[in-house]
Amino acid sequence: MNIKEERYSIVYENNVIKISGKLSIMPEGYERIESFFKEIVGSGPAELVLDIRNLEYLNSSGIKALCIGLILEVETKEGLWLNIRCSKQHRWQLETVPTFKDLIENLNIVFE
Amino acid sequence: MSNENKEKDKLKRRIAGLEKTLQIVTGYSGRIEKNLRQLFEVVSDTMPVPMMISLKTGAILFFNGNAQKIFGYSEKEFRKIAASLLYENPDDRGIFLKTLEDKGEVRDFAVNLKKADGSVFPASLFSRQIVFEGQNCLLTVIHDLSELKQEEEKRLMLERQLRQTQKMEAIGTMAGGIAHDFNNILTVIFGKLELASMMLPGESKVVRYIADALAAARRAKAMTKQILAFCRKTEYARKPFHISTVVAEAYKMIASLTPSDIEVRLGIKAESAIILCDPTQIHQVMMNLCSNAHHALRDRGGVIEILLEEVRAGSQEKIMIPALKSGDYVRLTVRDNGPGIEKNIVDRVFDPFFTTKPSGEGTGMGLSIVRGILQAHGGAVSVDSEPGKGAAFHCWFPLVAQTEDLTESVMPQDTVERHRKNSVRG
Repeated sequence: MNIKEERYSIVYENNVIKISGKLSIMPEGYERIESFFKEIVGSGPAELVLDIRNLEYLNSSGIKALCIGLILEVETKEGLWLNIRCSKQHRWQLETVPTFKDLIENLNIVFE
Repeated sequence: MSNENKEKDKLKRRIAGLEKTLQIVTGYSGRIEKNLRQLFEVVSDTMPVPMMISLKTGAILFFNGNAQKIFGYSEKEFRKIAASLLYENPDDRGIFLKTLEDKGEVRDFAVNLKKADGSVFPASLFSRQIVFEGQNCLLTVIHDLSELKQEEEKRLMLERQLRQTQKMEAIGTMAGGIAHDFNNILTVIFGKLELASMMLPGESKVVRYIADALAAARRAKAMTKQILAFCRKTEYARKPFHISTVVAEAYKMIASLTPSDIEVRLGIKAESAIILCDPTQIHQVMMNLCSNAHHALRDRGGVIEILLEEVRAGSQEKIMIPALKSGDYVRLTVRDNGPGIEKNIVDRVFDPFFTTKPSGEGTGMGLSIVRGILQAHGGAVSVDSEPGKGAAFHCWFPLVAQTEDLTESVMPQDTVERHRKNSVRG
């Protein structure tokens, strides 16, 4: 299942979750996105990549959805590592993504 | 580890993860909030209109730099003042709030606002209800209408002047036509009277009558000449010359004709200024203006000042005298310390046939002719007067050059000679 809307898209393919566009929906809108993340993690991938290089903006509810729906879920799967590919072009990523390291240990963050 | 302990450990880790998530999200929200506040302050201080945020009670929570500037309050004063005191009539705020309540927003609410120094300015308010710092507030944008009102007044003044000019042109055209035809009739009258006079013996009483009739016809011819001059039908022999020389010559003649209880003073501050004009017209301008000044001082004595100076007409002068173009001018001023001109007639003094002199003493054409001459030379005439404070007529002649700039090819021979002599002396 992929999610494609006018302002953003979330595509899962070959163990890569790719989020693009501007994601600033209301908190209740994230419920299906969190479910989507949990479904992916529950499918038992050997490794997981989150590619947000083209995610220009994410609001605070989106940060919460990423943390709870994806990152904390990864922690429940022993041996699973999450790699996050970020862009230095987006200031919010530079300021916020490094703090995700506080949540789990098996996390790699790469800025390109 | 027992299953129970495993579950407990799992829950503990979950709670810790959620706590950290909460920290991450609040940190992120804090940064976004700070950025939005900065954005709001930059936008409000960049926009070129005053705006403020107030409570319905009147407390002012936020104001931008333009609001502070227009009202003239310091930041500290602004925070303390009640919004109703910014209105000339504090009751107007009640009407404003009522409108906002009824319509949900206020657009173009016309009101007079009051500055810190007590002065009042017209404004139009635009307002909406917003939530600011957790409170229900009003965001109000103030559109200062002072300049618009001034522009409107200026436009109305220009319209009045345009109507007046059109009226004068219509009168001029009509009067010129009449004068032209009248001149033709006078030619016949002159011819026939002179013929009749020649056919009569010199001692005849009729010859005397005819002489009187001829004198009257000459006066009529002089009058038509003035009317034609006003209508600018006469071709002027223009040439570049030193206006100071002509003014000095005319001053001598005027001073010699002036009674001893009237002092005539001359001040020339534009000796080298050159204008393009017919010198006889300068004589006529001075004679007409000084004749009026004489009349104003006739029963009381006083001073007539004739001043010649170089001036630059800028935007300020253009507002006062719309006929004037921006540039350098030589200004000839004739000022008297007589009774001045009543406010209700000062706008009409340049109208043809307008006179305050008793019947038979003035034709009402003097100032009209002055204006016609100035207009024909690309200049303008203006008057400054207040009752009891005398009157000053300013004639603006476009400056062609100064002596140093004038080449011999455009300089009349007598001027060249004078210039050479001055150079040798200098």
